[in-house]
Amino acid sequence: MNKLWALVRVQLMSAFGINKMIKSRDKKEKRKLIGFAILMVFVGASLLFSLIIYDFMFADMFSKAGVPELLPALMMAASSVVTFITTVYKTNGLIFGFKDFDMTMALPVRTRVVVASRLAVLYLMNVGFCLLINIPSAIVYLFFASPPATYYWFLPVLILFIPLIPMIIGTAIGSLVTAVSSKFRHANIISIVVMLAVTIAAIAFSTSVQTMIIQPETSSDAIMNVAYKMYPPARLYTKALCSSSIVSLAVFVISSLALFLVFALVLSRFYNIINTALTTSRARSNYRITTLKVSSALMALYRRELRRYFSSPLYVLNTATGMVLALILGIALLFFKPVQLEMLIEAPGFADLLVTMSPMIITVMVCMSCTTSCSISLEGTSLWIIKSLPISADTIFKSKLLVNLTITIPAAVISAVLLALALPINALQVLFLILTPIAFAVLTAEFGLLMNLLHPNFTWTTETTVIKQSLPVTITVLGGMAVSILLLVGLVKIPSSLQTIGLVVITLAAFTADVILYRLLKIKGTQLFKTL
Amino acid sequence: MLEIKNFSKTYKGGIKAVDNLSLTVDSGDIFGFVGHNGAGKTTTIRAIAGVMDFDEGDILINDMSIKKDPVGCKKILAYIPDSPDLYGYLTGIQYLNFIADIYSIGKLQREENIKTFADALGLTPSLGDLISSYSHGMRQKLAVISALIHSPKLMILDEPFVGLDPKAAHTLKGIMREMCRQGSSIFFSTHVLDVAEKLCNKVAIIKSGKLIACGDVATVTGDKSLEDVFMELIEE
Repeated sequence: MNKLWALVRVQLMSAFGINKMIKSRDKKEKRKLIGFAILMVFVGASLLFSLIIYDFMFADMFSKAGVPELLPALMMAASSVVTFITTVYKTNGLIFGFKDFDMTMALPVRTRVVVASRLAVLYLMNVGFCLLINIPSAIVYLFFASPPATYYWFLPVLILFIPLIPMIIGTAIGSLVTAVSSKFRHANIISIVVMLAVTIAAIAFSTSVQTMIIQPETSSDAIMNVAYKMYPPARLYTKALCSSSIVSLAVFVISSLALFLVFALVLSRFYNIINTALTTSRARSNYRITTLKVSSALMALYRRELRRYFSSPLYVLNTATGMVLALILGIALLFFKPVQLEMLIEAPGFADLLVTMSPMIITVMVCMSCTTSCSISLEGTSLWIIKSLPISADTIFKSKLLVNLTITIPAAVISAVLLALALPINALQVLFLILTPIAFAVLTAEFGLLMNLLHPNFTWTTETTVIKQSLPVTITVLGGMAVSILLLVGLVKIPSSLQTIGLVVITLAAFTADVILYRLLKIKGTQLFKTL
Repeated sequence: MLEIKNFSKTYKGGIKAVDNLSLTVDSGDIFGFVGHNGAGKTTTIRAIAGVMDFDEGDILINDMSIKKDPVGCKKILAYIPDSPDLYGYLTGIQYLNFIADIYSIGKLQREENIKTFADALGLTPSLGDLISSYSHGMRQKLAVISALIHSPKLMILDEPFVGLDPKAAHTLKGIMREMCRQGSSIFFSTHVLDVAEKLCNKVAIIKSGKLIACGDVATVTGDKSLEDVFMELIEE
């Protein structure tokens, strides 16, 4: 048990920078980490607040339909989806293929303890999400129903067991994707496509369920069936929680635990074999030097950066989903009229918003797609290469910015053209449909790079730490989305006669900020790069 | 070729890794830099290579300051760290071509240099494979080839023989000697005192950040072995 705890503890220390925060003698570093912790608490609190609002909305709706117990069922299913997606994304890097695998496996610890430690960290992470989603809904439920006394006893037990089954499915799919992709030369493209499909399918599924739920003509039985069909264990969960069914509780707990234990045992048994199969590639060793292509330094850096980008499915998925959604919106508009789309996604006013605010809608998606905010950290232990080469920091920055713009600008322009074809907008609106997202694409890329130069991390053991859990990524994505959404809402609120002028002002301001940030990168960014 | 003038480096927290170090490496020198673990060898080497920033002193490469003209200096030097982590997502040949592009090496010259050094180190058949599939020694060989691709005037190597098989180590020593015969210089750190004594014409010993001996190998060692001299100086 001590060994298990030691392995879990060392992972937690590395994942959240707790050890650095406590032990670092560097005050600046410490301040940064404390700042990050405060930001994460703020993000968590904002998320909690939004969840409570949603819980009240749903609870009110369900209680009017006579099925208040649908709220805990739905939230349980939602937290299972979150657990599933998190697990799919984290399998490669956390369970398999982690950087300190050799060091860990060389320790005098049984393989099953190593497996248990990796699963424990994943479980702790997922149970955190489950608590965040299910506790508020369980409290809100009390305002709309009078559950039996067992509710208070069963709830904590049930929540602790929610992540187990989604974790099994998620790990299995994550391993399968890694296994299949490791057999091909362009393996990562396959991983990216499959993972993107899983994410979009999950989003589409949740949206369609939500749409069905909020349709007034849907009967309460139909709603319940949708929730249970979406995730069958939700039926056991709801029966145990809201109807005081000890049998359902026992079946849910025992089946989750038994399946998980069997899964963990199988995983331990074949852990080394699976890990070796997933992480080794067969070398052909038959190369002969032929003609080599010559490029400029910037082009060479750009190509290297692009290869780095596509070598990591996690990196691509975390930064390209926004642009994929923008393209899906554009393509959807070729088949559906804005009004039909509004009905389809059940968002009243979306059609009008699309016509007047399409530049800002694409801009929000552009702001979600920042590759630069972790591109410096991702140099990791290979940083010495670019630092020892005869190239200026400015050239390195350009290559990183260009990759971000390669991801955002073509997709934004294609989406803009598709939207321009589908929407009744004039030439000036078409112009800004293209210019505004471009201005924000440059701004996001520059801001992300500056943030990463200010807060780099080269000591990561899994890419997830810098791609998903780092301060510069959080600030850039949340900040970018918050600013673009606020501008969108601001534009909607002003009189329609002033909206075009407002858009012009925002676009010009963004282009001005682009120039200022680029100069800042050249001066301050170069200084920061020298100190890395 | 290389002149280190009163170089000092203090890390955050006030730890002085190198204290007022000065030395000169002339054209054609194979200069060995020896010292105990944590003596300041890697710090000095990283500063020379322009990988690490420093405040005190200056480092001149071919009379150019690494502080004032880092790009100019880096054009004529090559650096290999003790454990070269290369880009695992590139194949060996993609990595070498990337380095050749950065140094603006012409098509024919890069093809010829890569072939010569990759054949010599026995890495040619593996150049089409991803670097992530390479062993430590193969990565070390690739780093050596990438350092030689632009025919540098100064090579800075941190423990270059660690991880190389005996044949590759022998080949590298031959390449180093040939480079110096043609007027280039090599400055490298090592723990293997026997190698330093046999390969180098000059040697410097660093202890706790301070230079305690420097000069021709024969002058520094006198009638003793480098190992004896090193042990005496370290234990003093």
